[in-house]
Amino acid sequence: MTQRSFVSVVDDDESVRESLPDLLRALGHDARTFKSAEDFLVSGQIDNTKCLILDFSMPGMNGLDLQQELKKRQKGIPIIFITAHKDNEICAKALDQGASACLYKPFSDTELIEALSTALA
Amino acid sequence: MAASDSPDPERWLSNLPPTRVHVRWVLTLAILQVAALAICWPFREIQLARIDGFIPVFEGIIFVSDLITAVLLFSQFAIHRMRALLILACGYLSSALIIVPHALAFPGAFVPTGLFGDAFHSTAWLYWFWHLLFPLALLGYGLTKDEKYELSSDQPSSFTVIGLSVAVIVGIVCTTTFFVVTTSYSHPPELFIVSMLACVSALAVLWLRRRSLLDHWLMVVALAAILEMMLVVLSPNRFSVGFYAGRLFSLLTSTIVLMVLLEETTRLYASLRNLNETLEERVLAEIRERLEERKRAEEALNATRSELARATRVMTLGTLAATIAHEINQPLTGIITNAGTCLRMLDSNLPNIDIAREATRRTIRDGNRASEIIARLRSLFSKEEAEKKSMDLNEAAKEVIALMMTTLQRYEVVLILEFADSLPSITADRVQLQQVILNFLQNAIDAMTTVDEMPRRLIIRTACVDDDQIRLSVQDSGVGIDPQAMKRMFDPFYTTKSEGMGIGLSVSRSIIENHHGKLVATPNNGPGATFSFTIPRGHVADTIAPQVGVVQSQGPEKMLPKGNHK
Repeated sequence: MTQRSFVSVVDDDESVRESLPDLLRALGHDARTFKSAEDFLVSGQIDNTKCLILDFSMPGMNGLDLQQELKKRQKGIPIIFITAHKDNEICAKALDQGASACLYKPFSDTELIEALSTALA
Repeated sequence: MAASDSPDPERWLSNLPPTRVHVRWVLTLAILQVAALAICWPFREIQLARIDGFIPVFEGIIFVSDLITAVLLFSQFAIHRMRALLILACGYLSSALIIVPHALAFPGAFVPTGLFGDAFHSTAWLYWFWHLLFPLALLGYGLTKDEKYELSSDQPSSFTVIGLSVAVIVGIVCTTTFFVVTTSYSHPPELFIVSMLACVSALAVLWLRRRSLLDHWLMVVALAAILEMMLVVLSPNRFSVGFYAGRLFSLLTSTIVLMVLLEETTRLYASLRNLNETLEERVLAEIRERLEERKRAEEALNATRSELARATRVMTLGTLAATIAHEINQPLTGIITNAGTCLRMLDSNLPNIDIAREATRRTIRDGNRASEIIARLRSLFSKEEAEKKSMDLNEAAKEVIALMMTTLQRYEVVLILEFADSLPSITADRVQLQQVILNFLQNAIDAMTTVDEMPRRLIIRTACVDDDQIRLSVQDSGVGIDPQAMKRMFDPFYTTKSEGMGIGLSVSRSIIENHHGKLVATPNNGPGATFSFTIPRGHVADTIAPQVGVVQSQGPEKMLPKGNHK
């Protein structure tokens, strides 16, 4: 964590959007949250984002769709998926499509730090 | 005589083997005949009083008797299609018919010289024709009776065959009569030998080929005819002992078969009745067995249905468990993340107290949120056992809605609650009704997920109908119900969903029916469908404190954890 990285969080759950940025900042990153994939796509923050923390199931465009969309736009942002549904299949799919990590909610800060260091390596 | 030994109506006189009793009767009658002949033989020449009325009366009896016998035999032919029976019937018919001119021509019967003919020889000729045709018919019967007969489609109908036969016989009798009365005879006929020969041959053939009961009785008939002819030939004087005795034998010839036929018909009727009774008993037994079977099947079905209900419950619980996990994992993520942040703040050299305080506050809030979810689940599952208790349908529905709220928000469903203000309490199984409501909501959401072009509206209503019924309805703006599916949607395992099992609605309906209620699905006037159930209030043990009606504004929002409502 020598340099501050800009991390975007896309999740429809308010608890996550409220709590995660503070932790990320405490870990030495800059963070910004979006309540939907669409919001993120129109935010103009895509190019700044060094790492994307992304929920799978969201109303409208879901996490996997956003991943595909970014791939299409040739934005090679490392993605850490987070989900409250313990679904190995969907995680495997996300990892196949190039995701950096997949965390099941609730995850510990250690897990998050590990995933971030891999993603930002 | 014949006991109803065989209840088979196919077995009749013409194919029924005689019993020992039958044979004994036949033998007795034959011996009696011979004995009677022997007794009157010495007196045969003795002249008795001339009774002019004797011939019309006697021949009237023979006419009627032979005619009835012929009709019965014809009808038997129609049933069995045996040529032998047809020939025999023709024999009796010819006998009945030829008696008419014989009686008319008989001098003294109606007018002193007879109505036609030559008063002496004409009647004799007619008599011998009569006694020739009948034995020939007997002989014909004896020769054809063992023929195998088969019904085929190209055979003429019984009606045609009988009609033709009757016409032929009438023709023969008329022609014979015509020739006899228009010819003057100088001598009595010499047909005796021929008639006797025919009769003896008939007896011989019947004896040799005797098999059925009818064969045996016809032998008695043939014997009576032989004895009669002997008497008539050997005592040619009219109104002698031989003349009268001969007529008695003639009577025997004519009536034996009729009596046997009538007796046999009665026996058949009796056995038919027995058969009918047996059949009825069998049918009743069969029906009883079927009813038993049906009852067993119904019991099995009920068992399966409750098993299915249990399975669905378990399945619903499985789905719920996933929902619960999701619901609780969200605040837990917040709690752990906030606590992590807080710890880091406190550990740092320059603790940011504000951030730590804020994180702690959020931790408490998320903790409460998790606790709320658990509390709701507790109330949903605390009454796990199926039992009917006084309950408030609005309250029960609110609990289910609260549980589904995240899902509803996820799919951007606009929820409108139109709960009746003073809904009376009902006696019902709370958990089961909640299962039904949950199923309604799940179906409504499933129906609306593919609808994007218009707002997804879900209206949940409760109402009191007819004073003693309570209704809950869930109206969606989804894809509606396919008319094809409408018929089958309550069938177990019928589903239109790719991942559905097709048991939700069928189980829901059995739950509502168990509450003596009714579950209906109706297409909306606009888009979507409405599912509703109506149940009677039932016996209310204790009154629930009146509930404040829930309207949209104070509805779901109030009951729900704070989320990112859209």
